[in-house]
Amino acid sequence: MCVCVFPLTNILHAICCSPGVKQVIQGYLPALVLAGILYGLPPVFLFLSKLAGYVSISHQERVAAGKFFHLLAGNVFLVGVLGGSLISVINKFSSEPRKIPRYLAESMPSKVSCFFHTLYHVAKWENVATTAQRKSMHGER
Amino acid sequence: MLWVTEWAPEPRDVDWGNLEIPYKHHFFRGIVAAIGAGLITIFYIPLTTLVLALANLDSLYKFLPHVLLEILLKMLVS
Repeated sequence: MCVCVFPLTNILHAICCSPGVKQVIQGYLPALVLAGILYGLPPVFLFLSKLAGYVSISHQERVAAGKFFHLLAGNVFLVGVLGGSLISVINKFSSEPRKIPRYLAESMPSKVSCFFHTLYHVAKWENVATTAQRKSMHGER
Repeated sequence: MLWVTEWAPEPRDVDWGNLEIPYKHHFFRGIVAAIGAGLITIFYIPLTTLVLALANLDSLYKFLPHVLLEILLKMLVS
């Protein structure tokens, strides 16, 4: 089905028809971009918990880590699980609405496991660099 | 609440700037920080959705042309 209405669909068609590009874009790019987006957040949360007035630095770090975890769990995990499988299921919504739960149950595990495997692989690479930077981020202690 | 005591942190662990903040202010400052974190979380939902849409490009491609065509048809009819 190649309907050339908008340039966006053309680009999508070009991407989807070349297997190598598609695999890279679907597999690695989202996890990489996500890691890049989330990279700047920990200092922001550290600043927020410093603003909250905790007396010890380790307490500030603990609270910041908790906030970051909530962002990851609520945002990335929930959006990834629900959004990803909803998009793939949405075609079938109109035809057979009674089977929605079954389709959800079918499509969710594969998408989620695949995406989160790559996400955590990429996160591990990135973690090494981040851990190396931690000391300079906090200054001399 | 004049006399509230806590375990003292290690000397090198103390954030000396925050030590001056009175105990009363901690509650409100905590609320402000929580609201800030919540706003950041809400602000990041569209970004993550966009990024995760990349991961589902295949199904998005199947889904997108229909939607665009429908929108176009509606615009033409009305």
